[in-house]
Amino acid sequence: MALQRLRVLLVEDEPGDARLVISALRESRSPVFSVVHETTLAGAIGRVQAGETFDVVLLDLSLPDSRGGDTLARMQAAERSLPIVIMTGLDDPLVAEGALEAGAQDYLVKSDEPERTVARSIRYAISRKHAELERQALADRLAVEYERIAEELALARTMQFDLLPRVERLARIRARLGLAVDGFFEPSSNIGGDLWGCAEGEGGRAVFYTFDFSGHGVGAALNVFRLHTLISELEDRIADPAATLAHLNRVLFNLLPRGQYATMVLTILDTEAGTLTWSAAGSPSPILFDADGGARLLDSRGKPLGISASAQYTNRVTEFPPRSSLFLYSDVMLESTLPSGEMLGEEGLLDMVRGFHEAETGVDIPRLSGRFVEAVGSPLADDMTAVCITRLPLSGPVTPLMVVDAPVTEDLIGQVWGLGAAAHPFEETLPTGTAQPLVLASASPDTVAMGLASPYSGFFEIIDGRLVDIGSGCLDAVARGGFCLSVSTSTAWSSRLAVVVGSELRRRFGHHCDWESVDLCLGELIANSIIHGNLAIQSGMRETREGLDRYSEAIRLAMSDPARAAKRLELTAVPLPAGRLQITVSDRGAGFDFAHHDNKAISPGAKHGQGLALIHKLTETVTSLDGGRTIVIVVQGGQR
Amino acid sequence: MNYQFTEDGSGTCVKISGELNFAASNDFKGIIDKLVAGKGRAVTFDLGGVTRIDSVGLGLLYIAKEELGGAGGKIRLKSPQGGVLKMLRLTEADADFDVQS
Repeated sequence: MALQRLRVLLVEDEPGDARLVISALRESRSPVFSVVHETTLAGAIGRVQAGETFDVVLLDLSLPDSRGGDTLARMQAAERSLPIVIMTGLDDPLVAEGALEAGAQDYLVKSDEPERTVARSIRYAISRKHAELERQALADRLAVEYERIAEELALARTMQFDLLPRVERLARIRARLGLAVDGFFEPSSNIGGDLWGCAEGEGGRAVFYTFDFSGHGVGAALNVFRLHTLISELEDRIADPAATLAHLNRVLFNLLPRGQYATMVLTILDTEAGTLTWSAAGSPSPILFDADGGARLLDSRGKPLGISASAQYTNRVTEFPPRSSLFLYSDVMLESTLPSGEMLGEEGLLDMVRGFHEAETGVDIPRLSGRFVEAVGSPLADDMTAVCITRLPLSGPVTPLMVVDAPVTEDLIGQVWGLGAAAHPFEETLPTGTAQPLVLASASPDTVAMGLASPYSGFFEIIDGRLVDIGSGCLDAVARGGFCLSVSTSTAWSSRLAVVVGSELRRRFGHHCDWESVDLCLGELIANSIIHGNLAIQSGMRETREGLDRYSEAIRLAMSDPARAAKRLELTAVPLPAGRLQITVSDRGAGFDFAHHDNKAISPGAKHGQGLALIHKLTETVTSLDGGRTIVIVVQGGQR
Repeated sequence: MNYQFTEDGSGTCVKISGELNFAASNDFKGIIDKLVAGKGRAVTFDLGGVTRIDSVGLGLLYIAKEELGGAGGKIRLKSPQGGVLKMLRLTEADADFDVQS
């Protein structure tokens, strides 16, 4: 600051005090001060706002137009970057400290000899303000930078999750190979060094792997992307796990900085041969559940990938019949400490995993991972992966397969799974031996008819992009050799449902039945569910010619209410012994008092309210479920 | 549901085809309006082309009957098939209409 000229704005209403300060500043030769004197705050602010520049403000807090902290605050507001030195009349450390806390850079006590202190105080205030401004700028830059990094980490995390097998792929593996796969993945510090994956091979084979890079965070995550890319390039050529590991090891050895490595286990499940072939590179030992539920740890010895260029790996083989499960996991599951201070270890993990294993369905991954995180506490010490692959029983309940003729979203697939079914893309060939697949699509006369015709056994309408509010009876009916239909009210209204269903019933169960009666019953049941059930329209208005107009208008209005038009109407048909048929029609309306209407006989000439009486006359039994929302009829086989 | 009017010396004939059911009420209202305008002539509904009927559809026939008030005698229902005939018999509609199967 040598030989500088500094402009000082002195705000002081006491002429004596002002004079003292001004003369003290004139004494100084280095720096040289030029002083502008104002006696009011308004005058000072006026100068600043008019664009005059100053290097420092000497500010008396008690002015004719402002007092105390207010004076400081208003001066600061006028120009944020100006260093301010407070002048107080009393040597009151509280006032001075308050001013410093409020953002002044220094203070002077007027009674002190100004010639000794004022120049020093000004220089101090200026350099302090500079430092402050610099700090602020740095903090701002850091905040921006931090935000950018946080955004990029969030993006990287999303990308890492995107590397995980998609639900569609798992559904396909389940449908094609009878392998149920479920996985849990949670990076410890937003992104991490773990991953698991799968690939479908030729001839009933599927590849599954997990790997874990040393370290976690950004560096490890980058390695994850590298190795995932390497594996993806091989994908359908993985026939020999040990050879594949040797290949990956050589590439990683050249790619990774010294000291970085990955543990990995690579498995091939061959559903035709009924075998599991695996090769390991120092991963935790996979747990194998045999068909009888016995669990054992598989040998996973092998040099981690990327450590030694010439590492060799071994293939190991064991049986993998239906009801076997393979559990793969990352080492955090062995190394985390329990509240007791003990590590879980292999035995502890084996015990825990056993508790969540069922022969038919394998390890319940969501519950197991929940239990594990609860036991060791979050946040986890390292990235966590847990995957279970289960060979589904060949006999026993078959998982219904929904062929999706629509964009296959994760949500939709989740909803299909929620029904206990698997989703299968429409354009792909059905897996051989698929019994009774179903069609899941937006409704059109074509798709509804397709879902009812061979080889399909039912149609589910995607309403507003979703498959929700499906009655449990639908898939039951299919499992019992029948078919089902779940459509919106507007589809039911416009798609001549009774005709479509009637002809399908004849085609499937055509040998013996009183079809005229069935048709009449279908007509009554569907009409009731649409009009009185889902659209909630009373039939009384349909008494006269004028009433017909009101009735038509009521239907038009109800159909234009999206909530009512979207309500589901479901129909199932199931063959019973002795050629009888059970037909069920359900709606989502308010229901009705079935018992009250049940005893009515047909009243000739009545213009409404005849439906149930008619059905009674035409069927063996009529019952109601769910408060009248579901009507179940049984019609006899053979001619009546 | 579709319909077609023909006139001959003996009266008005409405040939109905398709489904005479809960979804047909708006169309059927058109039939009744037209019949009421030409009231006094004998009316025949030719049901030979009706593939389905339900209790709402049957109710529509009764509304027509009431509106025409017996002018021109009983309404004739011609050639009901299968399930349609079954419905007419079950509900004893054959007592209120002149059913010609």
